[in-house]
Amino acid sequence: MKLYTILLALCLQFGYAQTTDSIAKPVDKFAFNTFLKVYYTFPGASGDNVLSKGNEGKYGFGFEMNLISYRKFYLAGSYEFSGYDVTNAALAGNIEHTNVNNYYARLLYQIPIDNRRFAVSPLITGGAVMIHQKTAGKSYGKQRGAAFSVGTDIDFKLTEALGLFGRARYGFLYPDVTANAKDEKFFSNLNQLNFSLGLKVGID
Amino acid sequence: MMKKLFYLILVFLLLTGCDDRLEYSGTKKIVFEGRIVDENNLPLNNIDVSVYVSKEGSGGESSFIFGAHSDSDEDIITYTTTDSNGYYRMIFPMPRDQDNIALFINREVETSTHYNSNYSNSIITGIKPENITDFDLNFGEQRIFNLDNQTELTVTVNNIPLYYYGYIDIELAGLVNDAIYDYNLPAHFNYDTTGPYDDTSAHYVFKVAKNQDIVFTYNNGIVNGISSYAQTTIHIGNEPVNYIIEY
Repeated sequence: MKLYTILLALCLQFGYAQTTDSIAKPVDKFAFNTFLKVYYTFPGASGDNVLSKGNEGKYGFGFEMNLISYRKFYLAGSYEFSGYDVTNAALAGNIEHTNVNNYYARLLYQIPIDNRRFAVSPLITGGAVMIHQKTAGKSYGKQRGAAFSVGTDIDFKLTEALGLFGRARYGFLYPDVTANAKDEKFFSNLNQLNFSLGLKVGID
Repeated sequence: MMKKLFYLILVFLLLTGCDDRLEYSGTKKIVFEGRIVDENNLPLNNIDVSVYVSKEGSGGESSFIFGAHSDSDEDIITYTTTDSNGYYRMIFPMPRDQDNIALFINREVETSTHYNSNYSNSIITGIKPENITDFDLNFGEQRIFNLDNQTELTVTVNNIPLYYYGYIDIELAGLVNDAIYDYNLPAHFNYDTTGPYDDTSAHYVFKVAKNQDIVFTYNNGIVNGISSYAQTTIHIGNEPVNYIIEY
């Protein structure tokens, strides 16, 4: 908690310390550029896989820290938690929860519109996923693997240092699984469809 | 300071050393599948099927079937219902340190959603990981019967040698309610006696389907250290049957 408070303070400091039209003047070099996005997520899933057929998204959250920028490209480190409830015990086991933890690098291309008050930003991510099934304090095993996603952010600037944003992100998750040949893909090729709303703190 | 450290280590060891919890592999998925039919071999729809996993506590043998100890752990790890053709298929994470895996058929458990009290139930217990090939175990067809078609079979075994204390290994092949079968020892499962018994006789009472032949197998001695078994066929008609075996 203390760490988050410090990070937030740092971002606000960066925000107020910079000029107001930094979006408008993408510089042709790498720049150290920090802003924080914290958000609430509505997790979902699609396709013929256990996440989609055996679970239902309940809630999630995430935060990401942008680190560097180059022209209109922005690179961040992100963590996102997506909580699902198991709805089909025959597919996902008689377990209450499936928790999907995404750790990834996010590359975003910002397209300012409407005099730079709005921005639409296509993004791609790449990183790792850890899926943990549990009931109360009891673990029913973890799966780890690679994860990629594509998506879009829509940003709305409230002040120079504070904004709102929405995100749609479609993920491809490849957790490690050993199963009967006809079931393997069902457990190892998962598709996540998450919608998020949150705050952007700091100036890009 | 050293004393506090000692107690801290002791508490940690006690907390971690007494962990009798079941553990599962998140990366290995097991399939149990099969089909449930009635006494006329017609498929049964909406019959509950579930998989039970248990780990014995330090108190010794424990299970849902025999009565769990407080320090044991057990799960109904998956469940489903049969489709209109009587088929079921369940997938669950592979347990890593279990003592028993069992299949419950139409057995009332906490997860039951379509437990059908009009039909018999059974348990296939003693399933081991080595029974599972390519992460799949197919139980084939299992028969249960309508309890409207039920009668009682009482088997009395006399002259049991004293060293058996009135218990011998028996097995019934046929349509039996509350049946418990051992997956790996299908012919030699030990039922509890349910009637009065003394040291030299045992009474077994079963709820069975009418109009069938039941093959009754029982342990009739030990030859060269190996148990030997005898078999007899008991015909069940429309009325209760009392059957006496002289050991």
